[in-house]
Amino acid sequence: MKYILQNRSIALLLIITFFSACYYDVESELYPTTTTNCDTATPTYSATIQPLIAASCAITGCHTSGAQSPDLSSYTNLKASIERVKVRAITEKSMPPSGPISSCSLESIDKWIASGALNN
Amino acid sequence: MKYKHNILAFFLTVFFQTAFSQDMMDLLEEGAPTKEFVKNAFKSTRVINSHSLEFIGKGVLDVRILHRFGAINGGAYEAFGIDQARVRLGLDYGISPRFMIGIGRSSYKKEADAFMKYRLLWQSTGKKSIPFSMILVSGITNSFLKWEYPERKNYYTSRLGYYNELIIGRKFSESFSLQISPTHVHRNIVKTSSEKHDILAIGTGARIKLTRRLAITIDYIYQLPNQQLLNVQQPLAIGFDIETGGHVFQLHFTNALGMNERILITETDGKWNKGDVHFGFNISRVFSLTSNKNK
Repeated sequence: MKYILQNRSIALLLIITFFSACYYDVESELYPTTTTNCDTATPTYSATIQPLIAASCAITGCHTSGAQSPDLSSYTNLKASIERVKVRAITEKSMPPSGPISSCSLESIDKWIASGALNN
Repeated sequence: MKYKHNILAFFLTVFFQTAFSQDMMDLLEEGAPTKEFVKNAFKSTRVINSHSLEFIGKGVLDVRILHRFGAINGGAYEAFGIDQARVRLGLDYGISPRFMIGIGRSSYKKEADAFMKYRLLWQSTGKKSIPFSMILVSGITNSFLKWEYPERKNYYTSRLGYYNELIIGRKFSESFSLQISPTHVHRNIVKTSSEKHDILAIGTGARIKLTRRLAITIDYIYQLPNQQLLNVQQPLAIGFDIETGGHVFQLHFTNALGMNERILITETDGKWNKGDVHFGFNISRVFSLTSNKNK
């Protein structure tokens, strides 16, 4: 009987612990200013991707020529490493090390890659 | 911030009252011939991605190393995925034959997770036999990714997710075991109001034993139709279990990169028919931390 009661207590504790902190937050309602104005209609390399890469990845000491691999400072190099960029920045969100790029920017990169990653 | 108590806790509590009454009746029969508990329904405590019917013994530490490589459709340039790897390092510990806990950290999405696993019913033969096992798993996940917008007020609770599984399964014969596992996943935050915080899914796991040391395993999680998230696929894994003494190697192919239930169920996007399939392996090595007489 002692065994039963002990185990029942453990099981109840298990449930109560894991249900005690459920929240129902919605990002678009909680942060209306940072989740609106996301225009990803026609991302192009020159207008969207290059400035983004230059600001977040191909910065001094990071993914530039002579610094860390891969070099993302030119279209040719970026195109050659596009799968790696997709995995680290979009899928895993483990790059850049300072924190993920905004979801709006990630969406732009994703769309640009999906449309062939053109030098447009 | 809105806060709600989840009524599921209530239903599970009621369920426990019922389930334990069965166990209580069994234990009151202490004078009766001993029943035989059915063991080794699976070689490991995981089918592949999901929890299995199996437990580790009391005082046993299970060191688990999981790898998921890149998609095989990356071709020869990506060495069919071998160039990219995600790792989960985990420690599971058996507190009793019916209760175990575990923690882990995945490189994928930088998530840590912890779980508790409790055996409600144990398949057994003999007097007052029970034809199947029933197991409850509750877990919590915590993302350690840096904030996407560090300048705004972010809440730690947004990093958390939860999951609860009820695993019901049976070892039908020495060579075949099957389980189903209704699963609930909760996310504390979602992007838009069109997304669900609570996702319901049903997992299925099977093991077909080929030899004493080799088995085929299948692990599939089906999201119920009205739970389907945009672009999210049903996680399917097929593999082999190879047992070598204290080690169990699980080699498999899967469309899922997640190594905890939250990512597995809510963020799997690989499509089998597009070659978004990843080779992976789980290595399990057990260490007994207590002397035999204490077991």
